[in-house]
Amino acid sequence: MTNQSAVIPEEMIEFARVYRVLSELDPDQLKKLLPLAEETHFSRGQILFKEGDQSLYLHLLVSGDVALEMMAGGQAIPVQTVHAGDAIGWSSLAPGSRTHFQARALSKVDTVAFAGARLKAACDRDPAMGYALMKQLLELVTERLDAARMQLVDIYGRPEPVRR
Amino acid sequence: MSVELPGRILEIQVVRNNRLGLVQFGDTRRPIFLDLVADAKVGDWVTVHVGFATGKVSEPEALAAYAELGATQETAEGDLQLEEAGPAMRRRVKPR
Repeated sequence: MTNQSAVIPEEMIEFARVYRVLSELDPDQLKKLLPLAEETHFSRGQILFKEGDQSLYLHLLVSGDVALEMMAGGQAIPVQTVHAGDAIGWSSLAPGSRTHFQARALSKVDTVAFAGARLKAACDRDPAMGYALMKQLLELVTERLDAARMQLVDIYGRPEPVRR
Repeated sequence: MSVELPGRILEIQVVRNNRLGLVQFGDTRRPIFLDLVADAKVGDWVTVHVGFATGKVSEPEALAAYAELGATQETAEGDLQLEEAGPAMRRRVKPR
């Protein structure tokens, strides 16, 4: 029996948030996508992908934190930290794309990973499903950009007013 | 590929537009989407892939899967146990 009156546990709300990219798809669409998905696990410090690698997988972060870093002068410069509920590697949906960042696990990380080429092919075969998925991904990408802008503000602060 | 052990539904809630179940796998519980198995109810055993229930299995099938892996499954009420007894597994299932 469905219990709709009880208080919904936090973990269920968090779970729904983390899986929101998939949670808007209808059952027929999910049945097409889920066989393409696999769970992946990374330990702290492990590299999910390096900057400039061929972008192969879209990862939905289920748990843990990942640092996105750019290499400069042989050093990894942190650009952004992403958390459970974020998606990384969405450039894998564009054929021949390379990763723009290095992704490094800051903790134990669990993801649901889709091979980008297979995901794109599935979306091409079912444009309605592709559109539903892309809408959710676009929402995530927009949030990521907003978060990146906020981090830039944190790093550089407000510019000093020009003295005349 | 992840191993797809069945889990038993302990509770069902609706979050946004999705039916979510709290599902027990061995000694851990985690939320699972139930939208693909529309008739799933509390007490049912379901197979799961990447956070989504993909089908129902009978209790004997579920127990056999755990026995095969030598796992111990205990429900929240403690009414179901698999115990390792020497090299063979024996089952003790409380009649419903």
